[in-house]
Amino acid sequence: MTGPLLEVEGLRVGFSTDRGVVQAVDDVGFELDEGELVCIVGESGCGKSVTALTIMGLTRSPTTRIGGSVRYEGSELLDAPESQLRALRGPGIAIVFQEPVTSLNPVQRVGPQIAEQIRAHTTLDKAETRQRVIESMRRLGIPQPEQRWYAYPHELSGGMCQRVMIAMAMSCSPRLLIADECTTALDVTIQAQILLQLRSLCDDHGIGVLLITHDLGVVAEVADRVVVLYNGRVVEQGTVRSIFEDPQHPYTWGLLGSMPRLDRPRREQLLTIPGAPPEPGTAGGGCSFLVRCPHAFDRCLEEPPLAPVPGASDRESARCWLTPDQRRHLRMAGGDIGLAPAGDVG
Amino acid sequence: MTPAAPPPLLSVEHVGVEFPVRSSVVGRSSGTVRAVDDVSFTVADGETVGIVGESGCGKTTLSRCIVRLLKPQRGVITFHGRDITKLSDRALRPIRRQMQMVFQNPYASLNPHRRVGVIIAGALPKRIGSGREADDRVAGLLEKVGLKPEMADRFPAEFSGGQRQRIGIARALAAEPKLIVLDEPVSALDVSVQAQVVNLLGELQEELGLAYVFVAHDLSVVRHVSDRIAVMYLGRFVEMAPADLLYADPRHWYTRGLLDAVPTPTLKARRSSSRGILKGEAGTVLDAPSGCAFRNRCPGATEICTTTVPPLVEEPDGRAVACHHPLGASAS
Repeated sequence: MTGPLLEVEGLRVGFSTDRGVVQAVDDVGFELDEGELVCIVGESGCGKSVTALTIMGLTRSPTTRIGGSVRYEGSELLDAPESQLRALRGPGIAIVFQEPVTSLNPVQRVGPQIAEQIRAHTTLDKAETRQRVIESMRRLGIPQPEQRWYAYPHELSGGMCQRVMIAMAMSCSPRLLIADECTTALDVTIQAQILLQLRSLCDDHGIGVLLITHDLGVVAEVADRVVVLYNGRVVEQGTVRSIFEDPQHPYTWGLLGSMPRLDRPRREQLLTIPGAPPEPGTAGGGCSFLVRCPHAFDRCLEEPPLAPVPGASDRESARCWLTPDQRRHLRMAGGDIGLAPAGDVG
Repeated sequence: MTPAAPPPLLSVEHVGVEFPVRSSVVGRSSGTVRAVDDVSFTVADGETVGIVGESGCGKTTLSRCIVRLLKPQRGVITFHGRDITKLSDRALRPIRRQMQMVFQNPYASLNPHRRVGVIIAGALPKRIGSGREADDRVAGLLEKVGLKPEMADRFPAEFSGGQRQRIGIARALAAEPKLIVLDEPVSALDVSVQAQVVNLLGELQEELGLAYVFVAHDLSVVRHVSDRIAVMYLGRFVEMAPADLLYADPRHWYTRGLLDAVPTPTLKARRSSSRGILKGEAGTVLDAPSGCAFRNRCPGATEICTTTVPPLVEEPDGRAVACHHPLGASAS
């Protein structure tokens, strides 16, 4: 295959409400290759989940206005007929949601729930289907899958339910897996297990994974490339290395500085971003980060374009008027950003 | 009486909490489950003690016990040298002024039908009454937590999550407490807002000399704010140590597993299969194994761990660990 597995370009999603159109996603674009793990990171209301749902074709409704382009293996999905999307969901693209316990049907045993998708997309007979479900559960580290087939969701822990969800998503061998905050509700030790499994899906099975998260710690652990969203827009994107070692956007600096870290002194003042993340669709003119940005100046009243970072690879870009020199200077001056010195990657 | 050491602000000794277990909603109690089992620790004036653990480990039950929203079946809780374990609600009232609580969910812990000013004023000491002085106090408290005094006339629904948590903190401060128990105070907040609240708590502590019990599942946040940290697993403390020591040199296998699992926003710690990842899940206190509750996930478990619950043994450097085969023990 030549092109990327998934290409999202100029994606815009607006919801018509009584108060007018709420623009939840406003010009989001990125690419994802086979065997690559791309993280979309941002705070609540930044449009990360809407982006994920729109790729799956799950936001379509008479009150939604969708623009731009989403291409999977080169073919456009946004205006594809529902039947084509249905054929694609499962064997092509699969999604795992945040709340495993509420996403599963509480009155159906988990085995048959996983099998449903295989029945819909393949011609396997009953025994083969069952075999495949059990295989899929085993691969996700669910102990005693033969017995778990008969379990109801309430009999399983949150971590196990999430594994069932992933097993379900993986049961038709998709080429692209979208995971929407899939470890947020889990304990850290379980999160670590699941992240490792997601990573191995990319490395060992060549699956493309789009991981939606608010946790930069998770991003640092598993991502190949990162897309930072703020108020429905991409403010910065690049390789995981560039995001953590040479972040370009003041919002990314703020996010990095806000996190208490095990490798920094205790009780040190955390760098904060003043104010709170904006409600979706409340963007005024100019840069959407303007009101919270400590480095804003006159020009920021005008919306900055998502521009390539000079001297970096073609996939690194940032939406900020500050020049690269100014950015470097500001970051050096603000040692409180808490950035690790470059070049200490193991 | 020894005049040398003043009694700690809060002392929790061998506290245990049991809940009845029912086989169905209407069923009779078929036994009890120990949500908190034999937990002891102290909090000094102005100190922050962090309590970490995964869901179901009993950390919220323990925090509710400390402020006596729950009555423990076993053990003794002493506040300011006074035994409060069995006090009646009435007798507790003056003591509760000095020990306040901030709750996890800022959307559920504020009365939606009351104006913010009224919510905060409700916690002011009685002597202040409800007149001009009370209004001034409320305005002062709002400013102290980084909100505007005019906001007193608004309802909770008009505030964001971070602002609501500030209101919850202002309400706790209104009572002029010595100790605040914070149960997951920042876990519902966005990262950038979480940092604001963590900084605020630090500033308030310095200014007012407050003691905190900071309960959370996020190890990086707990380490950031705490002087000493207790790690809880299925109802028991498995390790307690000064914060830096705990992170630099964990003694309990579970502590090390937890630390390894924390995602840190640096590339140094990229997940590799060589890194220790705890296997299995904690489960619940209902199906905890015999002996050491952690033994079925522990890489270092042996025969004795199946039969004997390891006691929490204090070491000379101020830490305590409950393990038959603590890490780093062979070296010493």
